[in-house]
Amino acid sequence: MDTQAGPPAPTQKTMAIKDIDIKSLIGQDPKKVNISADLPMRKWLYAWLLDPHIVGNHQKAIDKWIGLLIVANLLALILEQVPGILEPNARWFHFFDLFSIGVFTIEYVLRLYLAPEDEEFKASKNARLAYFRSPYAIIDFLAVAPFYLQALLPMDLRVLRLLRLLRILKIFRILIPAYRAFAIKNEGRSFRQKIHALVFNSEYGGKLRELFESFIAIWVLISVMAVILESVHSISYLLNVEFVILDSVAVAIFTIEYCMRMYACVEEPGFEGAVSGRWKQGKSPSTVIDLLAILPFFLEVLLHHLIDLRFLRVFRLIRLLKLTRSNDATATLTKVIAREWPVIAAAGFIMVLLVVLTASLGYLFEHEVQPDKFENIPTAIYWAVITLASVGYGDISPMTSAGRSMTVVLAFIGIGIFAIPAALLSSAFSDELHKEREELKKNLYDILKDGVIDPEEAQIIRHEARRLHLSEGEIASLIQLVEHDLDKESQLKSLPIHTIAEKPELAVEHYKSLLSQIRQLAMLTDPVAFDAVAIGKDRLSASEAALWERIKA
Amino acid sequence: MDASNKAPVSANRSAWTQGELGFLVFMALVLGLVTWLGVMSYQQAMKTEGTKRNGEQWAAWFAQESAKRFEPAYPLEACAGGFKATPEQGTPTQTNALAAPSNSEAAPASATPRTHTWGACLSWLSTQTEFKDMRNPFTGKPPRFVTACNPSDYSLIGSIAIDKVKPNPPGSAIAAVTSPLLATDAIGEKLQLKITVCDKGSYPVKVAETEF
Repeated sequence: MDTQAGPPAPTQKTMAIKDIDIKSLIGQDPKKVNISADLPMRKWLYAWLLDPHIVGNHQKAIDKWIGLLIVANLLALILEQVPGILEPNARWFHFFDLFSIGVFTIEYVLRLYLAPEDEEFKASKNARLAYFRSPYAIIDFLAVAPFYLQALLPMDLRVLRLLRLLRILKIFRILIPAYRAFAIKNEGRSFRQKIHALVFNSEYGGKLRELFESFIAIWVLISVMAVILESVHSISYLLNVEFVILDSVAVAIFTIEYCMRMYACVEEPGFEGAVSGRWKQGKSPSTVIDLLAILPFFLEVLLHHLIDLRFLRVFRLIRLLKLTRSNDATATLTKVIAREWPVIAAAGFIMVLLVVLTASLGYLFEHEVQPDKFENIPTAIYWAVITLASVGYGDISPMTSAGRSMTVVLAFIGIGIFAIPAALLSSAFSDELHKEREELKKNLYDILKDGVIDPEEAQIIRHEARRLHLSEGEIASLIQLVEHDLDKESQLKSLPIHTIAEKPELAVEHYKSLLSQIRQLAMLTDPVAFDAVAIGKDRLSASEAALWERIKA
Repeated sequence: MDASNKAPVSANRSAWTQGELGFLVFMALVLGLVTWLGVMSYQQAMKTEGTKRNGEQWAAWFAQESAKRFEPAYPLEACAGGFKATPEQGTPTQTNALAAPSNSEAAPASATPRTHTWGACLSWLSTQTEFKDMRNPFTGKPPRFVTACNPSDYSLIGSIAIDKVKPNPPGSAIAAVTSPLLATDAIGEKLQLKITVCDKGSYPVKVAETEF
């Protein structure tokens, strides 16, 4: 770290509860960065813009936006190859090109100017020359040089376009550091373990895994967008070949990812075994989704001479489900549905019962009057569902008095019956969230018990706050609550038992504290060894043992 | 605990194991297969593009000739306009419409061309103009003119379907009525045409709507 730039932000070191800055803790708005304004201009600029060791400066944001601009440039370069897109939007492409060149040039000049402050180059005799000759600088130079070259030399447009492809090299600015970090983390590990670290969540993945996930997510979005746009005649007419190429590339990427997952899954806990582990992985919902995302392509290309499989194309939209793997909300939904399944199934059964009964009655009352509309019970089932769900298309409606009266009752019941599963899910969601927050509170309690937060604990709080979408205020109130409990606990500890007993409020708190301690004891101790001593050696009476069992449960 | 944590870690791993090499070979094969299928898919798409270009060429010709063919000294007499349809060569009757060959061909080569009918015009164009060199990219033969594309009939792949579009009076539930342009249809009056081609799955791809 640059010593002249001041101390790191609070989240980087252990801090007392009283000094916690919530925004800084959850990574929203780090505490004021301590970069002295008295620093020389170059040092000051470097500290603010490029120093990767100062938390809270603009380096991360600059890297992020430059990364996004590189990705946008790649997309623009691909889209420019399509005359149907380039011709009507040539002006916008040109403006975007100018903007990108402007940003990349400023970045290059800035890095060149600030090279003497960079740890990598400052030791060299001529830091700027050392930077100029470094691989990153060559990449940066190649990204902008063709633009200036065309201003000086008359150049064929095709050559210029080819040279502009060099801008793709800038992606290595993101990839190389991520790969280096990955290589260090996985040094000495097997090839399969490295593949596992890349495609599965583990402590070895690092930034490269994040980039891999983002890469897959971007391709999922691109391919889904392509499927949607393909249905628009005017677009698919122009870009039919481009869509075919895009789909082939997407399938190639997803197929490689699928194979990597199947190959490396045996490194996952519970999936050991070359065949059984892979079979188990292959059956898991997320892997089935992965397979369904690529299967339509293979089936259509291989079997299109035999059967018409064009309908399978729509199943490419299943690729969107690939994104659920990295989405916590989907995991919560799955958990909630699994938990509430018996009740949802019961509600579903009542719905089916009601639908069949009312459809049968509808058929009974209306068939003779409207034989074309209430032709049979299946048609009446359609009417019953549309009525119960309050959709009411109106294509089939009762005409007899009995039929109409029944429809009135049906409509009222429908509101309640169809609302049950929705209400169940909503309440279960709320419960789950409440449970998770309670868990976070418990974790916070454990974390704050010692009165300080170390960087690892700060990382846990930040992660949980992001996962549970907790606001700054919610975290603050949780911390306050824990502080309050801790205060009470410390007060209780300092008071003699008869003083506590005199005040019911304190007595209740003391009782809760004791219970909590017993529960913690039950969680931490070996139950078999405990029972062996407690019951085997008659150290606890029957009533004491029964109480222990009850508290444990 | 992560199983990967438990796996033995050696500090100087350089040799590839058989399993790793096997996986790499498998991946290369899979990649090869996907590339091959992708190339096949691309080639099919390019053939569909070729079929669309054929349709566009026809659409461009119809648009270009739509005004000229009503001029008195129009050189392509079989395609000239400005003639009233007579019952025997005119508006397709039920018999004419049913007379289309069973394989959906709209203008069979053997049909005797009658002047100022689409059949006569097509016959002239297919033998005397640049259209005689037009090829169906899927078969390499001259494209067939059919009444409609049919996904269950792969023999229609790469064919061209031309429909007459007759606008209904304003306020009608359906804005226009479309019917195939048959060989016996009179072309003496101005026509609104819709050109469709059959893609690699024999599905219709609308190319253009134009006047003729």
